[in-house]
Amino acid sequence: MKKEFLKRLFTAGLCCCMAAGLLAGCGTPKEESPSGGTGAGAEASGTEAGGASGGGDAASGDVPTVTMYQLQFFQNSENAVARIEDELNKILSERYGVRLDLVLLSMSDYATQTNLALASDEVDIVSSYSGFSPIINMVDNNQLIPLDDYFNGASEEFKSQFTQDELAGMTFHGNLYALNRKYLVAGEMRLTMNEEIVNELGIDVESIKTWDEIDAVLYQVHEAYPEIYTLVPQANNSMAEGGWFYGDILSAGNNVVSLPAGNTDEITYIYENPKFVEWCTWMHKWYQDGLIMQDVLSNTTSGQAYVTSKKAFAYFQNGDIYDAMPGTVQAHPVLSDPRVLATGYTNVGYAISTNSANKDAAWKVLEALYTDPDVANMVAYGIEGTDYVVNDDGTVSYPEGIDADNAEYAGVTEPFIWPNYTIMYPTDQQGPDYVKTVEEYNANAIPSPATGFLWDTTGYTDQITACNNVNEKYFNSLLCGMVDPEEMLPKALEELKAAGGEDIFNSVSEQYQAFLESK
Amino acid sequence: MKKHATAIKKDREWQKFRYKRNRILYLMLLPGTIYLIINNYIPMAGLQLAFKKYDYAQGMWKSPWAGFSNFVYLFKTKDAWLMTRNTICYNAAFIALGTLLAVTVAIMLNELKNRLAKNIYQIFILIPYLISMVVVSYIGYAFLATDAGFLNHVTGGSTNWYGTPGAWPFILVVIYLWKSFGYNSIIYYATVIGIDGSLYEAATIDGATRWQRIKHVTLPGLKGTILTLVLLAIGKIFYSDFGLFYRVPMNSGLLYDATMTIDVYVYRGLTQLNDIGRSSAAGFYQSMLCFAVILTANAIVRKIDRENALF
Repeated sequence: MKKEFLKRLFTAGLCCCMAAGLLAGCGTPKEESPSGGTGAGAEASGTEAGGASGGGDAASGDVPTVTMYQLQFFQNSENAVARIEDELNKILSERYGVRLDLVLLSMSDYATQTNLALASDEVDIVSSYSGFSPIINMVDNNQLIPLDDYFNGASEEFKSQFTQDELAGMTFHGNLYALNRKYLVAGEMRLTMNEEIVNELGIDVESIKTWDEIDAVLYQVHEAYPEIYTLVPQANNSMAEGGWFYGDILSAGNNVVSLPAGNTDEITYIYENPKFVEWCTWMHKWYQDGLIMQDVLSNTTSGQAYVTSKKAFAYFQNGDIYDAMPGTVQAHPVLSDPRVLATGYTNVGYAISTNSANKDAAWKVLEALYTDPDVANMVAYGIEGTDYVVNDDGTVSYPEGIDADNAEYAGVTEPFIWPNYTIMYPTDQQGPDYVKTVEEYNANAIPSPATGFLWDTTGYTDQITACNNVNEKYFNSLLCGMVDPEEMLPKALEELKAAGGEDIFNSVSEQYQAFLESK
Repeated sequence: MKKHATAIKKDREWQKFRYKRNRILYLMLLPGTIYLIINNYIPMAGLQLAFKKYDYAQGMWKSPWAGFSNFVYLFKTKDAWLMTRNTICYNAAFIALGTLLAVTVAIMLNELKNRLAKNIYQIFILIPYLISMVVVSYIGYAFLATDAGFLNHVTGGSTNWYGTPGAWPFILVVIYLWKSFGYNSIIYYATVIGIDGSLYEAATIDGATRWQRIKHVTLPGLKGTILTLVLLAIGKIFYSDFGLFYRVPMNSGLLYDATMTIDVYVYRGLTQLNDIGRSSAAGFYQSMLCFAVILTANAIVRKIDRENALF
């Protein structure tokens, strides 16, 4: 009898455990997870400050906690983020009466995690990225609030941070939806080459500017080193990252309508853009002659890794004012001078979620990030002495014995992910005159006539979806030279038009004309 | 009348007794039931999203209705036919060949007499099932790469497999079968070992050969399981294994015509748009078609062999 009772008790216990396990999966509301340890952010594979620090511990009292989702390229350790957050929150609560809960997410997670979090009040501040989480889509989905009232009521010091172009880039339907990341807006195509091969073959890097000159160098290397790839993509199957050569894409990041680089007002389908066609034609020639890796579309290794390990000679790089990485040399600018694309001012923006429970506090954090050097430096580089040191020339470096590979907080390697470089220390790689250099580079670049234009996509989602699928088939295959442009370009164009590309083209054309007239 | 009332009372008492006696079993049912309600029934409220223009500020309940407009993109282009055809044809091939292979392997396992060998084979055939599709895609790449791939190396060819769409229906079917047959075989094998051993003995005494034993004892014994598994697979015929069709072709656009299924199309089209309404519409469309197909398939089975129908 006793045995029977124990058996039953055991069974009942097991049932309870299973039920409890089930319910545990349902998560807890944000308010009930003071350290952020079990919130949705922590479930992400990103780095979240947990444990004793976090968002709103007992000491926080009535100080509101703002959650910010931020993209990271390096995997920063949880401990480091928690440590930095602790120090940061001392400044933020004292000066601004807010606290910050920082959630750093890798690129593969960012769009999905942000999108889910925006459906509730899990996140207050998010950033938009033209490549995978474009601001126009966030605005169309009503995921963000207009910032005009906050901006107009802000201090002059804050407002003066932004140029008219920067504000216009983040204004949609007459409202300001995000604050532009202050950074380089210009860029150029570069040819990054293996330094050893360049020296061995005596290649004059300065003389490489045009297609013919690039062609000559690539064949010279191919003959001397037939066993390595002569040309590889910059990343994955992306051969022309940044689009600096062929010009602007005017259809809100969807590769349908383009404004060819050069002084022209005439828009074309991307597959009729003469610069695009020229690119594809050269690439196909090199692909056929075995200069480009055969499985280029399935590639997952970065061009930098190939070139520095001498497995490949060169790749076209989406370049700016940084110097070449060790072991490489760069010919620049190749194919055109540095330019500013129409999307230059819409690339990265910081915005407030429409479902944020702490909108005012979120704005205060944004103000601090844009105007307070202590906050900006700490959030970007970590704690002085531990995560970075300030050099005599005013730049910052990793402390002795630490580099990008072993750093707990890799801020010195990725300062560009933060809102305002002008109030941050420059890194040793950027140099002491970084702010001036960037300003000059931006000022001297060729501005796109479409700067400030952004196509309003309302009502075109069906066409965009269909065109994206057509482009998945042709766009990279053409840019990598894998298919014959003479045969494939007309086919791709025909399919693009049939998929609703014509509707998109007409709409962009109409809006672009109105934009030019209003200028 | 009194007799009738007594009967009812007795019946109720019996029911009460039965409930009391089985209350632990009912309690054990509870977690599963709660799981089903939370995981499978409560989210059904989200079906309305397929008919709404989702507005993040308004949330699911207050977003404005959008009629059938979220479904339009699924049928707008010629891709509609292509993705539906691919999804159904691949699944049909998977069901037919997958079942054939799994049943064959299950019977072969049963015919093996060496216990150790049997266990080792079971483990080995199950391993591919446990490997993630991302890893499978790289195993595939090791075989199919143009420069360093095993296949080109052995044959001495230089075929660019990732640029040859014609080969992919075969490649995808082979990879699917390799990955999934172990798991299904073990399900079938579990049924085979449950078949009454005396049937085999009787057949042997009657002079049946090994093939005749398989044909007349094993296969009829497996019929119920085969039908159940096939019916369940048919219930998912409009869904595709996203990892298989998206990861394994290594994102090669040239293979698109051969690898585009409904799930892949929706992912590629909507990945940046954050359009919850349209994504839900695709899921709803797939569910409804699958529902219709499984009802039909089950009705047919019920007509032929009532015992083996699912419901």
